[in-house]
Amino acid sequence: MTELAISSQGLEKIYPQVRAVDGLDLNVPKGAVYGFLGRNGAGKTTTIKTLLGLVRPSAGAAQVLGLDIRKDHLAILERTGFVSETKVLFESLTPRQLIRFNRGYFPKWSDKLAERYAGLFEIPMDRPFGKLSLGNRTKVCHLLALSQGADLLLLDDPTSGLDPVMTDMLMQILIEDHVNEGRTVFFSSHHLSEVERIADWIGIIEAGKLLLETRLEEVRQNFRLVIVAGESLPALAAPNLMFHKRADKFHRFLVSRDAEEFAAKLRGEGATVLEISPVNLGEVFLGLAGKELPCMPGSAGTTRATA
Amino acid sequence: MYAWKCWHDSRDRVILYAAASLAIGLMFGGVALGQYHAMTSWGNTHVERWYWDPLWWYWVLDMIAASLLPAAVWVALSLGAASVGREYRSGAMPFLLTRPASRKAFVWTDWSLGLAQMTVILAMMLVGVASVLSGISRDYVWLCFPPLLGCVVLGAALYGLTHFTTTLAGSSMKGLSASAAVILFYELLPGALKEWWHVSGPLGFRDWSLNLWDWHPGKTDPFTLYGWPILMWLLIALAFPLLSQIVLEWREA
Repeated sequence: MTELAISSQGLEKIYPQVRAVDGLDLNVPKGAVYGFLGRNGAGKTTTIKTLLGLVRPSAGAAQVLGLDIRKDHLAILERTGFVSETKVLFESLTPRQLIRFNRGYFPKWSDKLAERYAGLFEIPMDRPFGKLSLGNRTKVCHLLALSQGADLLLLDDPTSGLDPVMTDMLMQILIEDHVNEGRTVFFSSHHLSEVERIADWIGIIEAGKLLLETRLEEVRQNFRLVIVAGESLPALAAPNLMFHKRADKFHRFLVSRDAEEFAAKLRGEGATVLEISPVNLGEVFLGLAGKELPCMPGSAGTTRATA
Repeated sequence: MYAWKCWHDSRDRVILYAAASLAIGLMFGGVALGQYHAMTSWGNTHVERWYWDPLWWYWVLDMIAASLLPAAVWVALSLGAASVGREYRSGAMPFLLTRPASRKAFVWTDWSLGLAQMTVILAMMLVGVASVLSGISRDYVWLCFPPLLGCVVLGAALYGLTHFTTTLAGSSMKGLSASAAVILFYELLPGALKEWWHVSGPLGFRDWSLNLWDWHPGKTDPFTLYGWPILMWLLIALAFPLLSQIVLEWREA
């Protein structure tokens, strides 16, 4: 039984024109670095906003740090650091004034950390936020979220606007100062390389639905791409089958485990198995969230954290 | 913390308005004092001082009340449009609303500070007048309170209206426009109704609601503060932040 930092059960957010979050069942273990992946408009930001009480869920339930998002909204905010997708703070205040504004809200606020991050990020502390570059705005947002002593960081596209050096530094800080302290980081991103670098858990969302939630290690160890030649293969349904795509005379199957068994089954159907190869996160993401619909949405037999 | 942020954002404007208000008051007072000395040099031989002194206060305060009311409208619109609702437009609302404080607290902190600032700005005009006219007599300083109270209550209603429309629209400019439209509507429509359709009820109500005090120079009780219209504006003034609160609590960021 894993203790969860975030969990949701059938979480939904429906707007008049769109079902932004559609029956989301998230399970984010405490102490994890969870990369939340999805295409533009997949529902990542709406999910994060719902968890923080900025958006009201249409149905379902969710708990953050064991607290109900509908009832314990303020207690959640007290223990959660948030960096929004837009990176907009009060334009009239300087970073130093933003620190002054922010510190009073958070009992675990650390001026020492704020000072440290201001130095590391090379933030011009006395220039109004509205006059800072996008990169510096992003850094200020991180400084505020990282210094508040949060048990959970919810970061929506955290590296947008950061140069590679600062991106690298942020990744290091997240790992050294937060994850190593047993805190949880939940971040959405389009940069698969960043996710692969620091995440130990991933969730892939598309059209509001969670297509996959698993340990990244499991993707590396057990996920396999099975490439098969054959024109008329029967429709296969296997619990470990993530997707099946056909291109001309070739078929590509992504399986989450037991690739050899699956390949043997295909051979039994008369197919010629050309290759069984490990996959990286990019291939999984593109396979699941790419334009062609996956044949089997769901977690397809992967290990999931359960409460 | 949010009160400090609101003060930080509004202080330049408030100091400017307060200084302008004080300057207007001093100017009125100065002109009145000059007139007073001119008249008393003539009047001393004809009229008793006990009659002149209060009369001068009434006259000056009656004049300044005519400036106080438009000032109240201006300040109310200006401060109301800088309410918490403008953070939607600036994009900072998700940041503000993820600070662990209730939305109710944000609305009432912002509203209370704005109301206090408006009261100070309007009071400065009377401080200016009173400080000069104290040279004549200090016995009538209390006469400043009826127009101040009336203007603050009416101003609070207009400030609350603009605060609410800004929160509803999520933009200072839209909130200001909506509020100005409501004020113009309230001011002009009753007259138009009477002119075009001979419906006089709304005009009567408007005149009743805007008649907050009267001056009666020379009487024992020199002014009448009309309680019912003041109570009405007071209730309206208190209703708007409640509406802003409802909007902020229901609206998603």
